[in-house]
Amino acid sequence: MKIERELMRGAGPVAVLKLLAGGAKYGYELVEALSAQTAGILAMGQSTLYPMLYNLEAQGLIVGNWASSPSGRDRKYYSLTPAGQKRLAHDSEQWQAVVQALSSLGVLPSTSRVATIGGVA
Amino acid sequence: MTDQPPFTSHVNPKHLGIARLGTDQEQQIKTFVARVIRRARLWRSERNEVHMELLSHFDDGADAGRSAEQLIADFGPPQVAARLIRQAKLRNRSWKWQLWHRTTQVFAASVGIVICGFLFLVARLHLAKHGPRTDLVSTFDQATASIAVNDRAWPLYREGLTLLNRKSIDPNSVDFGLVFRTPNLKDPADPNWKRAADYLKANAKSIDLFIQAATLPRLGYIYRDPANDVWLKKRRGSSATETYPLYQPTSGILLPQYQELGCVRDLLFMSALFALKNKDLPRFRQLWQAESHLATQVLASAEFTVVHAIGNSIAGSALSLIRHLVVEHPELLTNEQLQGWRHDLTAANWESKSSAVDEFRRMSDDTLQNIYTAEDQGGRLTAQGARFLLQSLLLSWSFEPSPCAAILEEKQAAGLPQEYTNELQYPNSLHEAFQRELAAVRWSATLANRRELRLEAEKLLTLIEEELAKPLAQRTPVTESSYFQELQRIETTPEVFRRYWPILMMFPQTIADWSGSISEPHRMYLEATQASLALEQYRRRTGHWPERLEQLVPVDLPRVPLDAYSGQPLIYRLVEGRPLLYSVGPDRDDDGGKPLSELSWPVIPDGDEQILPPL
Repeated sequence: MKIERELMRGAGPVAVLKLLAGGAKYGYELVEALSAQTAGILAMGQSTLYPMLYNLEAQGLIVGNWASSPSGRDRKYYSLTPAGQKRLAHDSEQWQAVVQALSSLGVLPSTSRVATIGGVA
Repeated sequence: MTDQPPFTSHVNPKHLGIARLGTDQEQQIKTFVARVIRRARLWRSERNEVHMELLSHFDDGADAGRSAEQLIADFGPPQVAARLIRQAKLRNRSWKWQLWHRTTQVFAASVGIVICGFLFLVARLHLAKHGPRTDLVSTFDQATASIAVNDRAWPLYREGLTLLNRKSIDPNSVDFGLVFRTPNLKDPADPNWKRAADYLKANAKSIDLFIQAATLPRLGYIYRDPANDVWLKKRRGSSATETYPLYQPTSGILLPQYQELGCVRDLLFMSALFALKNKDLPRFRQLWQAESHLATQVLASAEFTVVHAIGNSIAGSALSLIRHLVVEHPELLTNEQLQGWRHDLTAANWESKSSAVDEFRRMSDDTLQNIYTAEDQGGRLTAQGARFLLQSLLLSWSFEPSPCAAILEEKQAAGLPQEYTNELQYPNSLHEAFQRELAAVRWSATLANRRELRLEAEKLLTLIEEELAKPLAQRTPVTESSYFQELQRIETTPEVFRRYWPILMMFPQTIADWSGSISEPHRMYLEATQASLALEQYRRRTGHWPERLEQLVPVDLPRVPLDAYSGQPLIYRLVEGRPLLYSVGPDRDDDGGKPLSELSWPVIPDGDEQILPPL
């Protein structure tokens, strides 16, 4: 299922923040996780992911650090900053409110059946 | 070639996961990444980091078993990636850079808008085309062309003027007008007397040609006649076609012939005074008739107030000759001759068809047609029209600042004459050309359109017409009139001035006919000269001068001549047993016959206009 661009623009950053809440991750890992954990629904073009990471970095919500991988190659790992954690909490509340509102309108069948990211509802 | 990254990276390509995909696929990925990086247009440090990260991304993809094609397809279009990466990286830069960048963007956008606006106005100006135009000079020439060649006096005047040696009076630049100014030459003991006599003798051929020319019925001056070239080049430095270029006139028409005919007037007048001193009445009469006919020719030749003024001044000079005759040498005249002069005066045809309103209407219409497109085409300023305005400003007006004042100063500093030359039509440098273009564009954006300017011109014409309909004695002084105030409003209100300043070129602040300096005083002098002859007739009949002018009525005069300035009878009294006759003059008060001061407009000269004895 293809998500509308405007909806993705709102959901993408919070999804990335949520994934990083589980620990530092590099770009390709985030791509794979988004695709796998959302059944492909929030899979975004990789050309969009890196600019999004740079934007979150510019806002001070995440920070990137180069580190060596087990294979010996350098990778840039992104992790959540305290500001990013606050933003994630705030955005999560907002999304929950949206989901509940849509459920009460009957747009969504029930909040319990909504897919979760990173196993945290 | 171009797909190789134009930067360095500390990542050793040999250690990359994509190397496992084989040389072709590795090269394919490297090329793709290089394309993204190059398009993103980042700083070197940013480029290196993004380059490393993207290669790392593809390494991870290759490690996950993806082919180059799959990885590139999953990544998405390189141009989108490059654009988004650039935008994101710009947001990451320092606030100082962001401020500088925004400022630069705003400045560049502003400059762009100004340049686009300027180019739009330039295009608009240069695309504006005139509709069909009337060539004023041609209409005058066509009217003159219908006069039979043998009836045209101008060729003889021109021949006489060309022969005239103007420098023979005094090599030390004694002014021609000074020598021939009448008050200086009343006395044969005056040193100028002999010089003037010598001058007239040396130029006798010219004077004979003038007398001969005056016998012909019409002046017949053709503006674009190449036969005028020798004379025009001598007097103005340009040929007939250069002086009257088609569709490149100034806001007016050059009339050098009338200035020259003023010179003919002076020569005929002085010759007649010399004949009178020699008591040569036939020669005096011949010269008087020549001057009188010259006045008739001039007055009938063109409908311009300045021509009217010059024609009347020639007629006034002829009238003055009669008063000189009757005051200084009445013994030369028999009673019959005296009556004959009175008859000649009555028969003199010195009427002019000129009207200030018609003239200003004609000239303002001509100016509008030379500045703008047709009214139904929007009445916009044209490029030619802008040159016309600039030319007019350079030649005659100083009220409009940049660029005219600056250009004019440069011309004057360069010693160029402030008169019409073709050089003035063309800029002397790129800087001057740009200045002119800038002025033209500014005017095209700010000037009122043709219709608005025409309506303003009509408003002023109505104000002139209303004032001129009143008798001279009841007219408002020009500087207190609604007409003058309207011109002042245009000149002194910046927003009105910006839109309507060409009006100030079309309408002068002083109108000769307004203060009556043309028509009414001329009629007054004509009647006063009749009265001078009547006074002599009265004296001959009674043996003494009358005490009052009323004594001349009705035997010697049908009515007492009126003063054009006051509306009252002319002032007359006997001083030392001789008649003193004068008008109160433009200041409208009696100064006891004191001659007029020589103050010029807008100061109204003090004093009176003396008629008898003649000055």
